[in-house]
Amino acid sequence: MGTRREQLAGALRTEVFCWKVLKVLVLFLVLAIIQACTSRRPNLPALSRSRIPPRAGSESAQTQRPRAKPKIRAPLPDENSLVAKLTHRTPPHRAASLRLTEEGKRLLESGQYDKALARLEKTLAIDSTNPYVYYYLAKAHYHVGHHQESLNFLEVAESVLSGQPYWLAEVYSLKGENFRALGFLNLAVSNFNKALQLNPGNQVASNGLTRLRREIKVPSLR
Amino acid sequence: MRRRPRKKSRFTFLKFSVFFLVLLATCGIVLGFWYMRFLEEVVTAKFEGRVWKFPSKIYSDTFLMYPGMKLRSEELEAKLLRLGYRETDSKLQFSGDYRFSKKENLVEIYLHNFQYPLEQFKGYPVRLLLRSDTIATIKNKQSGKEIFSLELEPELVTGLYDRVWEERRLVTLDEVPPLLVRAVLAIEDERFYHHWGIDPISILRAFMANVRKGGIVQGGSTLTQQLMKNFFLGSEQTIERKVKEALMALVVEWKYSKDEILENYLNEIYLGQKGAQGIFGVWEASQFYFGKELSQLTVGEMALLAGLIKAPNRYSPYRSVKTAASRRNIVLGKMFEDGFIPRRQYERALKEVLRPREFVKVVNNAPFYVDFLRKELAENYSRQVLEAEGLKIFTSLDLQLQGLAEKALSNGLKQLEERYPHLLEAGKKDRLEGAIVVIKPQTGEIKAMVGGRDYQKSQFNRVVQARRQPGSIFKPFVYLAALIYGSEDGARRFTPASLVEDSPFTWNYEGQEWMPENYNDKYYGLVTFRHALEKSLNSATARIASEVGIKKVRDVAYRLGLQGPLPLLPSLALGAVEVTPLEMARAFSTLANGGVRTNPLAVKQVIDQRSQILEKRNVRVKKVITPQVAFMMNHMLKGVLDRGTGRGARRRGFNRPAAGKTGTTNDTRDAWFAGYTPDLLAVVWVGFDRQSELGLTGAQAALPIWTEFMKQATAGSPLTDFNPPPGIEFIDVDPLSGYRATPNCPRVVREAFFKSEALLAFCPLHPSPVAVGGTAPSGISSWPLSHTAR
Repeated sequence: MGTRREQLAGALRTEVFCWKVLKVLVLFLVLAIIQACTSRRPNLPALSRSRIPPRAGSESAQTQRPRAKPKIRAPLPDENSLVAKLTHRTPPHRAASLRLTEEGKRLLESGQYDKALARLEKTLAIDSTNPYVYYYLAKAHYHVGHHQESLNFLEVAESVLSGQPYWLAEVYSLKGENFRALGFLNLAVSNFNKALQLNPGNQVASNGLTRLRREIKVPSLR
Repeated sequence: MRRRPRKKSRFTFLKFSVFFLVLLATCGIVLGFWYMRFLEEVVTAKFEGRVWKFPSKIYSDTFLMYPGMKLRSEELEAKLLRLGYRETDSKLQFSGDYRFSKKENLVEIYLHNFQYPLEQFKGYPVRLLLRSDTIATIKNKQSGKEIFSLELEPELVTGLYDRVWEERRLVTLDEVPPLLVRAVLAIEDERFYHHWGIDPISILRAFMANVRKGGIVQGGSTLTQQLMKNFFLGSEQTIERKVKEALMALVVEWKYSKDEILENYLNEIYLGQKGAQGIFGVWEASQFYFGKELSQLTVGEMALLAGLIKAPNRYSPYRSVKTAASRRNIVLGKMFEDGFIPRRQYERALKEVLRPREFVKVVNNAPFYVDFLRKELAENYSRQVLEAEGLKIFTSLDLQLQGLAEKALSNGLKQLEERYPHLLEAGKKDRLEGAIVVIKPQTGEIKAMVGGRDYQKSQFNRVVQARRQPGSIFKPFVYLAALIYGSEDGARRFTPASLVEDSPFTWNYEGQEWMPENYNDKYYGLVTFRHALEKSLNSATARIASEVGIKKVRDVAYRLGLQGPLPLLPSLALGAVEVTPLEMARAFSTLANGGVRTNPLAVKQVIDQRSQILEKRNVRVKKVITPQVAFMMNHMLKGVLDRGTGRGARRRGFNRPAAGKTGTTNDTRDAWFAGYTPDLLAVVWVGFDRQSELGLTGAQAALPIWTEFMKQATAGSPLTDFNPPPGIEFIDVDPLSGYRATPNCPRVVREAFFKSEALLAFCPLHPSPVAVGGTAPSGISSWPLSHTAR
């Protein structure tokens, strides 16, 4: 009997244990599904893991505070072509300036950064109100390794491109790249996040975040 | 007895003489050998070391053209001539040709090749269609494709040379057409390949010819001797020089090949004068006389170049086409005679027409700018390097604006002296002077700089060397500090409509009293910020500075771009500090550029003779104030021109949207005007070097010069205004009350506010039933009843 009772108690314990395991598994499954659903937005480890401490009063401080869950937005249409912005009403100096900016952009794409810089500076002189030239000048400076100068141009670009979410996202993603290059990883993350909030389709920002996640994780494992 | 000693004496004398002669000969040989060795060393050093000095050249900025751009055909033609293009009636054949057709309204230009810092530009023909002083289209004539922007190469401003400007480009013998070499040999030294540096036959022939003619009509110098003369010796006609020349020629012929000597000769020879520039070598001469590459020269042109060697200025086609043609024909005859060209070629070359042409001298039209560049370059390059290494220095200089600035300053000062004779009186011991600096606000490029009235009389560059009191042009920094920071205690924010008391006022600062006074002791009571700035009211401005704090004012001035020491004293608010016009230009350009500060940029790139970039300076920017505050300030400073102390500019016909500020120091020793459109800024200073009293305000002395310059400089450029950035709201304000205007307000000023600060109550002085609500203007808590009675 005793043996039978013991057997029964053992079976009950096993059953309870199995239920517990099952519950845990279900919980894990639910969590996994939730995570899978939200994995479109990169979920970075805590920023304090970065070996570089966040600057006092910097934007990174804001990133550590709990934030409202951002709305998932559709990627913005590509507005990269400046020539497409030309209409018959475009003033001649603006038209020339946009075309030259496009030329500068092509030079950047082909890796001729110094030439692109010279061309874009000329463009700036023709039409100071062309907002895109500031972004591309920043990009040229980024490529030649003048990160602080690039950030300076991006500061201006941010002002003159306000109201154009696609371009602002480009500005923030390039800011992120510059901060990453300068070692301010927290600022880089916050700028990439800003870019993705404005345009979830911004590849530079999402790639930058993925890369940063790797870079930040490595030191934390040591 | 007597004979023996005589014989002995003769023998001894003979022996002694022989010994002496042998000794003399030995010494002669040793010395001669030593001297020849010395000459060899000298010649070798010249041939194998640095042979020539190449002055560095300073270039202006490039000139960009695009469809829709305003461009008068006369302006373009003048530019092309300065760049060395030549007009042709027929089809464009060579790089450097251009053709104007008034009938078809078009200009065709075969662009020059040009070595830019980052690329070698290969010229091609283009066609510009002009429609009522506007470029309608630009097309590449070769491909037929439309071009959307076209850059003309920069203009040569001047060279940096020691004493003589030798303009020369080296070529190898392979690059020189064989026929040109033959032409030179035919006329200068037909037995070149047959002698050893000296040609006795030529000397004899020349001697005979000279005897026959009874004077010197022919020389017997070989080409090698000529080279030696040019390399080492002067042109004095002495036996010593001739002997030295002959000996050197022998040494050179012994040590170097004929081709090496010929190559050096073709690069060395003097072939004419272009203003300050001496034209040396065949490549430079080909460019100067024909605007062509050596390979493009015709037989006749080659013959003329060879003919010029004898007397370049006498036979120059620029001087007389007839003389040049007859000299060319002599060379052609010699070439035909020596069998270098067949009869057909000879006859065809004789028929080549030499067209009378003019050249534009390279005259340094920007001496103060060049001095400034020299100083900037001296940080990295020694004087020797600049004068001998042939660097190319690309700058921001715009020669057209430079010319306009020179003219505006010189005419303006002259007119002032005519209008105010006391200036001439003072000028007996201290001549009236002025300075003007022009900057592109978006890039910081210094487009023009005139540091004084007459460079020949005084090289003191007042734009960068004269530290003078800015007076009232400092005031915008006070207002800017007020708009940015509000009051020092943080209790109040200010807007352009804020009210301030303009009445006698004492500022107690660190135990000292300071009492600013208004111009002519005239006070206006309660006024808006705008009104105080437009009328340049000292008392009101000082009151604002005292509320904001002088530290904040200084901080803003530094942020905008001032660099010198600024003492923390109340009088700083009214510009009692010393600054240079360039510093002020930099600070104001930050405002013009929407709060983005740039670095003044004169030198852009420096490249060496192999086109390697030695230095590159980029446009540098830094956002130092928000675009909204910068816009509010620009909006207020526009009022200075429209209604305030700068309204004289409007009376003189300058009607573009522009902002600016007049400046007069208390003792009227300095008169200033700093003004700008969104695309161009100019600062003008007028005064005496020895600080004599000017007795004129900025509006009287500096503003007319600024206006004259800006009218010309902006003519034809697109009309632009300061664009309000997001976050700015315009509200109509009654300038008397500083409140939102009602329909009953007699005068209304449209004011720019931060959107968040734009909630103004309606004007209590001119109430209207349709306008109620809002808050009081910042700066005052309630409307003073006494004010309503005014």
